[in-house]
Amino acid sequence: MKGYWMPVLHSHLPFVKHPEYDYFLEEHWLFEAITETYIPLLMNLKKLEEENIYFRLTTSITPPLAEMLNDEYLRNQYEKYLQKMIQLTEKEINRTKNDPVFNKLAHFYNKRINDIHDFYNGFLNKNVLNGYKYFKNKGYLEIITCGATHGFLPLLSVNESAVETQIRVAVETHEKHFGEKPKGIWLPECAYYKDLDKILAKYGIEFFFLDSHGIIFGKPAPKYGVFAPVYTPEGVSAFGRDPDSSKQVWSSKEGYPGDPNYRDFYRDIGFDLDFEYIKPYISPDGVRVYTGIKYYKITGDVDLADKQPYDPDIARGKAEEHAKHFHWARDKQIEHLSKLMDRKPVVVSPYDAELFGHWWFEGVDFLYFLFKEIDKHKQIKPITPPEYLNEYPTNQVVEPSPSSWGDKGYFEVWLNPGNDWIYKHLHYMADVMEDFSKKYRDETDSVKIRTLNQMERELLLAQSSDWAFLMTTETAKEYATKRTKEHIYNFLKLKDMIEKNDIDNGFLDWLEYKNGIFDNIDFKKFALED
Amino acid sequence: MEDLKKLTKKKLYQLAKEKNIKGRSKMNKNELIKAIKMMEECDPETSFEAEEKLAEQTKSEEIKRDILIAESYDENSFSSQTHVLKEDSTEAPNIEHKYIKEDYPIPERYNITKIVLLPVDPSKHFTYWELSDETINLLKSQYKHFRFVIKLYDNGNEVLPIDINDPIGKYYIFYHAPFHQLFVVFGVLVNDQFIEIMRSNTIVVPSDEISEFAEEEIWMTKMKDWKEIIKLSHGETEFFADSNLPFQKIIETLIQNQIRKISSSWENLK
Repeated sequence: MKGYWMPVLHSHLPFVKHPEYDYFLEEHWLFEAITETYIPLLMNLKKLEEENIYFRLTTSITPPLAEMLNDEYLRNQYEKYLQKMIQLTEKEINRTKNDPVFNKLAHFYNKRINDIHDFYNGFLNKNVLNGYKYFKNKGYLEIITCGATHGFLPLLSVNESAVETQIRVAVETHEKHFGEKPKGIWLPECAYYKDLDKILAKYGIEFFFLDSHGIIFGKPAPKYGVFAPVYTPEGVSAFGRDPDSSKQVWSSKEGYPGDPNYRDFYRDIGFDLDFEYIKPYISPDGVRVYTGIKYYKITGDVDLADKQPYDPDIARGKAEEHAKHFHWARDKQIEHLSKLMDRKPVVVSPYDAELFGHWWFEGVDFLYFLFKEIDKHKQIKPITPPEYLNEYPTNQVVEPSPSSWGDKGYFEVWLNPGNDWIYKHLHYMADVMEDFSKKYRDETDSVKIRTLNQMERELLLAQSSDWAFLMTTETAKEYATKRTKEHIYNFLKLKDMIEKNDIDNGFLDWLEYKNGIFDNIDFKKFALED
Repeated sequence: MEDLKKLTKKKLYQLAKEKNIKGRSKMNKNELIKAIKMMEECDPETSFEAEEKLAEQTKSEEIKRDILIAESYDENSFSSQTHVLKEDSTEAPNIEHKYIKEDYPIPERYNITKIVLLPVDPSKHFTYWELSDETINLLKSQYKHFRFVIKLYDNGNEVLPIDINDPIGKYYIFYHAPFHQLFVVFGVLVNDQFIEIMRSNTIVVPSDEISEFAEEEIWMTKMKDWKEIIKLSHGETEFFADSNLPFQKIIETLIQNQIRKISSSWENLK
């Protein structure tokens, strides 16, 4: 055995819950991620376990994702979504009955969605978190946390209490869902600033991840590059991303997901089929949306109209082939690195979890084949951060460079002329929250306490880096802008109610239901003790 | 081999760069020739082999280190695929606007006196500020003529004055300062005299360059029972720390010494 491979998945979605609507497009982000990524991944892990294959995987389940997966309203909505999907695939079998190519695909989707449904109701007992807990308890899975609402910490650090609350609430929420405190964290967007490690250390966080340059541009330059972790001055371990293995999977051009045989993401029956037929399965106002039923393969650099039908068997074969190639490349790389180092190197490969399954449909099978291939050859070994640190407790002390894994490597995605207006609000709200946290420390009126707690929820929800990100990429800019303004507005209205001592109970009840993330929140802890 | 010998070191370095030979900056002329020859003999697909041979022959820790660093990051791309700025979206049209039924009015300002500095990247920083009505009225009552100025401070030294028109606003400052500490001071200029009104938080700027290797590396061992051993690479100094000892203090001192060494050698280079 020459060295270690550390696969890391970042599983995150912003908190989106709209009980005020029967159908809400952005709630489907969660349903699609469950159906296309989380459940297929857990199903494959189960298969690996049954086949007695050695595997290790590190994954974040961010606090908002955990809260949503556990939310009763959203779980009910998800079951309705699954029922509808089953119904649609059944209709598709009937619609395509005279066309053997598409009929085979219709059967493929029908079986797939039924399997997912059975797994959800059976093994998972109607809660996806059960699956993650199962593999965690068996030792296969290292579950780590993230910022409470994925706040971009360097840009919140003007108020230290704001950063500390992101970390503290994350640790508390993790413990609530998984029964113990997290050992590690996926920093939101891998964003690091000097002295963040002090806060991480205070809450018992032992390790985190950085993009390559966060380590390489650290001070002093690290002896082993990114192929061994470093300790920050506070003794927290930082693992750096390996650029090669990331690119092989990430890049839509040179990476595996661009293979012509893989399923095309954009051709979807939600857009292709006759309006009257598909109407019950798209947005109720008639706007066409993705259904997840996609019958074409990438084909090549052609127009959407010229795509060829998808063949799941050929695509699965490709995934196996790519897994073998990835294994071969890691084997070569790790052998090479081991000759330059006086210890076993570790190659860290972090990805957004939703890349596998949601964007790269066959990506979940790729991971399954990859673990099988690694187990077969036993040249490299999958490992989790605590396992590596246990074997190599001595590491170089390096001060990492402030950085992120966003485009261009720093903070521009979350701070540019398109979204910089949000920060004066986020900072002001944090200052008010800190002030109120001290001022009302001895408050005993339960309605006022609830109001102050809801203020903190609104602040945390406004801090999600997702909104600034979506404003920049312009993928859901209006929704992101509206969400940011909504939480600022709610916060200020609640503040006003506290200051005037005039609480609107109806408004408070509604917000507690709609934006009811973190039921155990305690505003009194927001301000750091002097 | 003969041909290569005729080339200047600069030319050889260029060649080595084209062939992506790692550790080239540390090589002398003969080493460069050797490395280039070795790379030429090898299939580009198996350039790993050549690198290893090179590292083995020279037995140089420095070259090993350089190769590890070079393979640790990709100069051309730092980012994951989904996080791309200004990419044309090929996604289907989204329908959010349909659901924006309510409007959430939020204030333009908070009537406070405050300035904040945020880092964007190694050469760009964002500042926003606001003066409260009270502050503005006070200024107006005290001075007949004044104008606003923001001054940038780099590691404590004033480096850049910026003229500002408005008592509320934002500004992007372009100033390359990897790992430096920056803050801004906002004030008014009255008859060429600067009067400070407020100053921002201090930021540590992200870096975009590889630091010096430490002359003396600091290594830490984290034991299961939370005792930590901190030592320098040559093993001369060793600290044992447990919960009773302020081990962070020890590391801080060690790191500070390192940084001082590095920055002083950097100053000398300049």
